[in-house]
Amino acid sequence: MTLLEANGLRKTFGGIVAVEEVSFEVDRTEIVGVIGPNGAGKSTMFKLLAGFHKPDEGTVVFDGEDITDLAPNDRTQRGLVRTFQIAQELTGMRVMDNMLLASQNNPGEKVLAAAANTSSVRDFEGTARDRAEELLQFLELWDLRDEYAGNLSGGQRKLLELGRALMADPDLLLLDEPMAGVNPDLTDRLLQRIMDLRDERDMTFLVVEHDIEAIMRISDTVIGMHDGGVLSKGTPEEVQSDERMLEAYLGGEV
Amino acid sequence: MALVDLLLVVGIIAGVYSLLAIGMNMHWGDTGLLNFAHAGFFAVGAYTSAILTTPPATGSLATRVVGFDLPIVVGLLAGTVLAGLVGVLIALPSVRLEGDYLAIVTLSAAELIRLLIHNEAWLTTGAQTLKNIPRPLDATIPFSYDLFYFVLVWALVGVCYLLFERLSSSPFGRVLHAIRENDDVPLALGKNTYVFKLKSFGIGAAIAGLAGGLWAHYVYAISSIMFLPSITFLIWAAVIIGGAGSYTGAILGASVIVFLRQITRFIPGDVPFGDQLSYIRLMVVGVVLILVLYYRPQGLLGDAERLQAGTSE
Ligand SMILES: Nc1ncnc2c1ncn2[C@@H]1O[C@H](COP(=O)(O)OP(=O)(O)OP(=O)(O)O)[C@@H](O)[C@H]1O
Ligand SMILES: [Mg+2]
Repeated sequence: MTLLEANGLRKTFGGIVAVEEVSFEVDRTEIVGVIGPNGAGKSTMFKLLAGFHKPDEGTVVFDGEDITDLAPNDRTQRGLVRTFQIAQELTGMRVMDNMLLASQNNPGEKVLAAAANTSSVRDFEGTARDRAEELLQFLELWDLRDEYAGNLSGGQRKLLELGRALMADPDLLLLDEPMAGVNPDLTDRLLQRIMDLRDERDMTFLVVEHDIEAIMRISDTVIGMHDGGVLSKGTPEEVQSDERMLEAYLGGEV
Repeated sequence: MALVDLLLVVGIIAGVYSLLAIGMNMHWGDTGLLNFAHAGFFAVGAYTSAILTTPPATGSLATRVVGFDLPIVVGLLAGTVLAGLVGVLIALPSVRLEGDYLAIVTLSAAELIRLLIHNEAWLTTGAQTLKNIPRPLDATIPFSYDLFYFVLVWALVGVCYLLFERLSSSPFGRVLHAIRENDDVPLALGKNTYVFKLKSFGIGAAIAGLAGGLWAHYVYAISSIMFLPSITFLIWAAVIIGGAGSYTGAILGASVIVFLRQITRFIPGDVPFGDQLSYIRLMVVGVVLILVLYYRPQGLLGDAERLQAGTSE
């Protein structure tokens, strides 16, 4: 069953064509890897899907609904969540607050309920904290929960970025280079976690990564991008042996 | 005037300024919004309450045809609500603007409010002073009226402090802090940042309106020149000196500034430069501001660790 549909997406910046004629479908519970050289348009395509850019042409359909004109926050509330390639931690907020911010439909975000500090506000907060604790333990950030996020290392910031996105409990998660700067041992466990979430919680993933080995390992489908367009699409093996992809990106790796 | 009476007056002004600073701290300290319209919200609160609680002017020279003679509580509440609404109205088209542009638009909006008050004499008595604003329980207080008003104002400061402190540490406040840090992140996490900014603006403006009402009912008479942008600048100085993000800091900063400005009033005019005192008073605030920013950039009660976090790249 199709969860996400990109139809003829195009995005230009002045004279630069960043994304051009990009169309593909992602099925529910699929893990789709996106690869391609620097400047291929991967992050721009993600921003089009998440609503941070408006496409010049084309549409985005999520869960049967045309969401092309929806704001980013509305897409998140429908279950489509993105992470940032360059971790956008909230430096002046503590790690725990970064996590709690991501919980959805929080009753305490309403002014009156917050002012009254009602029991539903407190209960929600308690449950959210438990979830945040579990995720922070897994990401090895638990000991840093009361630290300002600005004091984390580069890799820890990427992990917090991932934790925050998971905290939002998405149906479809767009991960922009989640493993960049993360040590190999933890990378392995992150990959495992992604596959577990797919199996146990029916989550769907779209993952941009330059770590080809990691992408080939977890992806059901791989999309190869080059110069703003989709150059190749298929199983990891198909894309890996595609002549055009070899030439444009993979080069000597095979 | 005995020293105690003097201190009571200074304390009442400090309380009113503290309310203003609490509102500003929600805008800047919590949400990172550059609001320069605070004097305007202060004016809306003062004039609303004054107009609602006085009868229309009579006599041949009377310009004001509107007046309602309602109870003071009604005036204060209406002034608070209307200032909040005006805050939202100003924020609606402007709050999406990047920092500096927001500052310019809000500064102009406050001046627009002041000019409206100046020109719409049928409503506000215009350039003349709006007089005879009633004092709450004026005839019934058996002891010093200033003492009564001092307690009233600071009780309200206390209530507002607790309320804003609670909001700031709630999930609502967490979204405001996230907007202050980087508003793409809450947007990506499903928060309608525009609506949160409107709420922040409205709530902070409302409290400035309450301050305006309390001010009007204390001083009997108000006129549009009381609401110049310099008030906004003083409140900014108060929030920065006290430590942006800290509500105790906002109250301390406001009190420090009022105290500094008021004690210089009692320097006799025949000392050297005595005739330049009003300028010197402004300079004193500036010097204190610079000293604080230099030696304690987070402000007197601000969070140094937060300021440091993420700046060591
Ligand atoms: N906001 C922008 N303004 C102008 N040009 C942009 C903008 N964003 C992206 N581009 C351009 O669009 C092209 C695609 O950029 P994009 O960030 O999508 O690449 P990418 O595939 O994610 O690369 P990388 O692997 O290095 O992250 C690049 O040429 C880039 O310079
Ligand atoms: Mg990229």
